[in-house]
Amino acid sequence: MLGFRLSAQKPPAATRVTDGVVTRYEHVFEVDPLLMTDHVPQQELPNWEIHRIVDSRWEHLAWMHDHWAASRLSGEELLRELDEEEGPG
Amino acid sequence: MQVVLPTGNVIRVGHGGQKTRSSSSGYQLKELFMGHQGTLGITTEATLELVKRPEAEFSAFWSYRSYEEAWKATADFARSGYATIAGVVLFDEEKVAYLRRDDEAYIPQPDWAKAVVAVAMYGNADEVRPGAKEMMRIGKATGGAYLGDEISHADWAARHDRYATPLHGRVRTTGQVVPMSWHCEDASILYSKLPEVREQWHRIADRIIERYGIFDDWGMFAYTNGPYKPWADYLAEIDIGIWEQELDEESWQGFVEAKRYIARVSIESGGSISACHGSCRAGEVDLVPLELGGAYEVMKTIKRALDPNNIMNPGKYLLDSAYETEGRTEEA
Repeated sequence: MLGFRLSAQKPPAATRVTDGVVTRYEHVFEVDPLLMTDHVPQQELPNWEIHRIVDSRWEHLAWMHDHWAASRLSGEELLRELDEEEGPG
Repeated sequence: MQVVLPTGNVIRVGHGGQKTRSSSSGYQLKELFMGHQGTLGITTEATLELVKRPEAEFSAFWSYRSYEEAWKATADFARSGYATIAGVVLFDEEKVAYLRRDDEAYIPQPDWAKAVVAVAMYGNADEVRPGAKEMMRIGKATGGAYLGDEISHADWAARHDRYATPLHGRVRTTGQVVPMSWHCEDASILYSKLPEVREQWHRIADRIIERYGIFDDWGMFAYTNGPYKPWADYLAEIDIGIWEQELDEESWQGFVEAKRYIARVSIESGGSISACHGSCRAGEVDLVPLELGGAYEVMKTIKRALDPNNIMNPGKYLLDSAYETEGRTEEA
């Protein structure tokens, strides 16, 4: 039986997004490691740690919203309604 | 509120009785004991008003091609007349550029997106929904591009927890990441003056960045000042990063001088040094007498009357001067 293997937790290679930003997972961004060499060395994170941080972040944001109101309105839905009412322009 | 005065007397301030919110009886002293920075007494009891959690929330973020477009759109949102508008927030070009460094909501935005406006509404769903639809119409009409529900919902929530995030800035010459602390210079600025104040503030920030190399300009926000009354004056802030490990006496004095200039620009534009943080930190505090004029003398009279021995937070707000006679401080 295979247990936890650190080698399988290595994040995929980075793809450049902008001059100073790279990405390894969709919607997850990292400061370009080349900008973190002189004063603040970048930490290496295993996959599970990256996913834990992202998931926790979403959970935290939902918790924040829950404090302010019982429901959230969708701007996209309202924009669709407006477009339909205004017709093809 | 129940307040213990420096003389040991215990008083109750507020509007009339303990639980009423409105009263026209006597001087309105409650405000005197809010924001006094510990100079007038100690609050030992407070009665708070609880507000029911709203049924619905609406938050929408729009990007614009320039600060000027976004600034004009801000006025259209804020003056739309909807009572459910909790606030409108304007992000300037430097703020959006700063957020593009490492903020997941702004990194994917197209290059032409230079400034952002956010609108938030709260209330019962059948009140908020028609207003929200009007906000979407205004956003479209003013040339804004809606950032989508995911970013609009998530970034509105995230606006409230940035205080807890580790802060870092960039060295201008190399672009390298360095640990920096966040200094928010907040002021109360009239809507019509925001563009010129913005230009002057960024020039001041630019000068200390160029001269000392340990500061960073993190851009400006302008928030409507009155919740549910989003017009006229704005809480404008410029966020400046400081690489404190490299801070020495000379660069600290340079920063304090920059804060004086920032405060002076606010006053000369017809605004106030601070919308919410108070104006008692090094640099800005020197200009409080200039902003308040004769009212500063009244402040000193009140301070002397309530705290005759100057025991409450002495030195704060330069109020030691309330005890000076012919240039010398009176012995307590």
